[in-house]
Amino acid sequence: MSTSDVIIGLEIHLQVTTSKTKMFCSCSSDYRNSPPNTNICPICLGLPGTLPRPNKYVVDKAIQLAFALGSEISEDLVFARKHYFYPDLPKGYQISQYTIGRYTALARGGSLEISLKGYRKNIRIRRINIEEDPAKIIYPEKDPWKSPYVLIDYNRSGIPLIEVATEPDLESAEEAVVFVEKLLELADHLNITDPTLEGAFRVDANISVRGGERVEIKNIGSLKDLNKAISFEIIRQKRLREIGERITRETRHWDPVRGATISARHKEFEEEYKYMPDPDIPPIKISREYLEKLRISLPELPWIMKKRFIEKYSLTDYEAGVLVSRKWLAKYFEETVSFYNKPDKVADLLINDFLGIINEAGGRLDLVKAKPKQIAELLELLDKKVISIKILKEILPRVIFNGEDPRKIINEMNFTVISEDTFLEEIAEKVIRDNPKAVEDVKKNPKAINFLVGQVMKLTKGRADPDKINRIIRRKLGLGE
Amino acid sequence: MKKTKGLYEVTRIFENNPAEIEEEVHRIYERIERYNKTYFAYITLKPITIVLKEIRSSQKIKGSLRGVLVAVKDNISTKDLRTTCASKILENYTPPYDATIIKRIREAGGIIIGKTNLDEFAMGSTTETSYFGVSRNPWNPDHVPGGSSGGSAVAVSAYMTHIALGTDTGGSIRNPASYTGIVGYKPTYGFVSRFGIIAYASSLDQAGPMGRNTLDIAIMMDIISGKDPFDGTTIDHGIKSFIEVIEKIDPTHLKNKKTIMINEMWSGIDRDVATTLSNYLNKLSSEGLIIEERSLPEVFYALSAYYAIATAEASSNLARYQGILYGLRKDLENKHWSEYMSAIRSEGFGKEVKKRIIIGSHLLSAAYYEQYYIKALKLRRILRDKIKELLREAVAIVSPTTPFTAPRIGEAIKEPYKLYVADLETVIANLIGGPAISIPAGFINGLPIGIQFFSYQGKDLDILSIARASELATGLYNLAPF
Amino acid sequence: MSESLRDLVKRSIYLSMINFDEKDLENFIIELSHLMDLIKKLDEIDLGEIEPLFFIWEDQGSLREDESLERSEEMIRWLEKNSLVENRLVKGPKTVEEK
Repeated sequence: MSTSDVIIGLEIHLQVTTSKTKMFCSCSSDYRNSPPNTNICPICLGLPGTLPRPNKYVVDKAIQLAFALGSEISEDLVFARKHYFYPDLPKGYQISQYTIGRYTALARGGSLEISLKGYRKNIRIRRINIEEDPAKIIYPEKDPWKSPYVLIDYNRSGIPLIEVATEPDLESAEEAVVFVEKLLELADHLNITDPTLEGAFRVDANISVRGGERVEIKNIGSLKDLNKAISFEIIRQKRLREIGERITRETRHWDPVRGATISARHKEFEEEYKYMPDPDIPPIKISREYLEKLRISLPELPWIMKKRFIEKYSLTDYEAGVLVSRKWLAKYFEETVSFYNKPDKVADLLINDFLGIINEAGGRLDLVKAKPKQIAELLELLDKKVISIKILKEILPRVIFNGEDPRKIINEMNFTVISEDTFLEEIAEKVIRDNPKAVEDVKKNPKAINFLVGQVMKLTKGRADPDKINRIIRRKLGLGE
Repeated sequence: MKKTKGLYEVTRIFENNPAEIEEEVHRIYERIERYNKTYFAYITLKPITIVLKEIRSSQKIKGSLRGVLVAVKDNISTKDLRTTCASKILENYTPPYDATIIKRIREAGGIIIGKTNLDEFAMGSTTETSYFGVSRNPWNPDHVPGGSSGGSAVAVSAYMTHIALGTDTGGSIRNPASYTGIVGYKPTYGFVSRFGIIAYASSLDQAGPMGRNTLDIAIMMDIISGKDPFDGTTIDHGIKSFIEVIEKIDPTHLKNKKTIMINEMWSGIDRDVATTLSNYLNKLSSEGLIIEERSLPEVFYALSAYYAIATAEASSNLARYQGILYGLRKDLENKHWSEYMSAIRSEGFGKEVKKRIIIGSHLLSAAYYEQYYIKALKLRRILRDKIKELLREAVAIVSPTTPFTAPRIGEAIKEPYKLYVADLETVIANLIGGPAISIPAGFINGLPIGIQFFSYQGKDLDILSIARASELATGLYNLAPF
Repeated sequence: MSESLRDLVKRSIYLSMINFDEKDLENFIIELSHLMDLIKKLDEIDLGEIEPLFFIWEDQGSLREDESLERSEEMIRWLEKNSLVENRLVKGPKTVEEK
């Protein structure tokens, strides 16, 4: 259960990884696959005289996110300059959004429901806004403390971000993690963010323990770190309270190496961003027609899809939840079912074997070369007892990573299940003859039969169906089926 | 009074006799050779050999600016010439791109021959804040040429170029035009792209032509104006051709046209200026121009509002000068970024620029934002609405461009208030985003003085027409000091 | 303003990343006060609830289509020539400070 004296608010920055260009210029947004400082132009370098050109695709996606969260969308899109000096911010300000007079963020309000063990909770959204990413700082000596200077890669400067800020409705590290997972799932389904890309999202967490000041932990880059950082910070604050110390309002950052939140340099003066509406970007009207078009083209929302999966395919809540957690996986599942209409079997394979194999290799969709049709084929072959489950699991990685046809692999390795009973009977008899001691053991301890089964498997080079072997041996030993 | 050629005649000559193109290059470069050391129009000058090469290789271009030599204020980005903003912090900066208006000039066949002197980052009205030194007024070298587009004004006035580009944030094109006896025009905000113009105050800046007569201005407007996808603040002005309208204007255009004099704009100016401009307006009245007096007390706060907005936006626009990607650089190893950046900015910026950045930062801070910046923007709306109302049946507001003729060098910079007060007539047009022009109106003790016409946004043809008619009626155009 | 001009300037210096020697600061503040006085004239008027005018032309903002351009070799070469480049990365001042 959540401890009610902890108050947490989150700001999640999502990179719009599906956009082709940066937020304010036409440079390619594919910065991960480019040599440093090659996706650059005068605009994203902030050279004197340059002016921003807002990206329509990002605006569309932010509006769709606002729809999905039930947020109220502004009539005018206005950008604001957020000023601060730092080597990764070439203009000395970030173009973002802020509430100044009648000009506000792209959207306000809305909520996202999360479910944990035994309860559901509605987390309110404070605002959704669009902004740009700063450049990337690299430390020449790996350790920032030992680097006499920094190295800057401007490929990332200007990459589009959508920021979602919550009300302080979260009360534990677990809730925070589940919330971010749900938001990433939504962003994935809306085709905004591929959460498996490095740096695709960052979280700032605002944490206070009742009675104390708010502490901001900035730039947390993974769900694991989010969990650890919030947990650490809650303990840190509670300990300070116990010994009667005041918690100062400050900014900290999470150091994964030390496993602790560390205070950022204390500033002499309070943070002053000097927000002002960006005079270079006049307000953009968001008309009703424009909104309608975007609303109609909204993809199926993940919670709707989950319900549909449960009803249509008779899946459990857990199964539907896992399949829906990635859009491509949900699509993959449905396509496979269209070829092999046993959704429970497909779900089982995808969730328990398929996903495990992919996640171990990094979890990215582009690793999967297997077509749904091929997975369907595998399951058919299993059904027809052409292969055993053991063989299926053995060849599954080849099918997934190489996209090889299951039948081809099987023929190649002669992997068909030996089902001629007589042949099996012979092998079983041979094994029983050759292993008298084991046979004795079985009579005392039925579980010892596995040794004998194993021996048969060895002799048949794994091509036999182990259940069948088990039954044959039991029969021969008079143990009943 | 000595007269010379304007761009309009020059382009006609070139059309009939292309050989004159290279002759003009030699003529102008000879004058530059003779006069630039004294009057300091150009910070950077393109060698004549390169200019001739450019002209020869652009033989095929049929553009209307073929063979035209253009001087460009050094806060406008040019790929082939360094762009310094007359500041130490950009002393060796050469942009990797051309400003949109430069691109358009080149596409029309124009040749950029050099970058002209200005007040540092366009902040000032005399060129005395330039890192490279002050320019001198061709009518009297002991006096300033005005600012911030002083260098461009000198180049035009002393026939060291055919035409020039300046920028105007609070009067920086019109002020030097008034002091040097030329025509300086600030278009409606949004008519001319700011992409590549190094920003001072984004909601006030506009680039504009500076020439010897209003026809020259119109020719340039046809080339440089128009919506630009790279500048979100530009609009489609819907004017097919400026020159086609303006070349048809003659003094009869003045007949029965109404203009407004705002009384508050005529108080507080030098006696001599009042007299000279009065005489000028009498000449126009005799051609049928109607001048009506009105009052607009809000005008007294225009200067304060201008400085509130300009300094706030300047502090934002100049935040990017940090000594990392370009410009002034120091040894940065083992220096914390705040130590490094403040060292660069403290050394690279001049005093006036620092003043405005610091005040601007203060005005944008949360505690003061409403009190000055927002209030100034409210006054802005009031001024715009009231002026639009005044102009319901009139074609222009007529006023002095500057309250006095060009100060002596060193005079204004000693009295800071005099430096700011020079702007009081011109800032209104920037605040309301309307078109404004200064044309020569006479001489006082050998120094020129200009008169200003301005209107609200979009009324550029009104302003250019009345300017053209007035200059023809008085003969005060194409003036040459030597 | 309850702050003295001096404190205000000191804070603004921090906000602007510009510093001064103490001996120059005094003169600078005097000069600054002239411009500040001019702006402070706005305190004399009360303009009520009028909308501030941020944009001369409102509602003409437009959005750019999401089409990417080719990498610019010219840009890359310019960067190499104009910025301190080490292994294709731009050198900048350090971000951590010893305590």
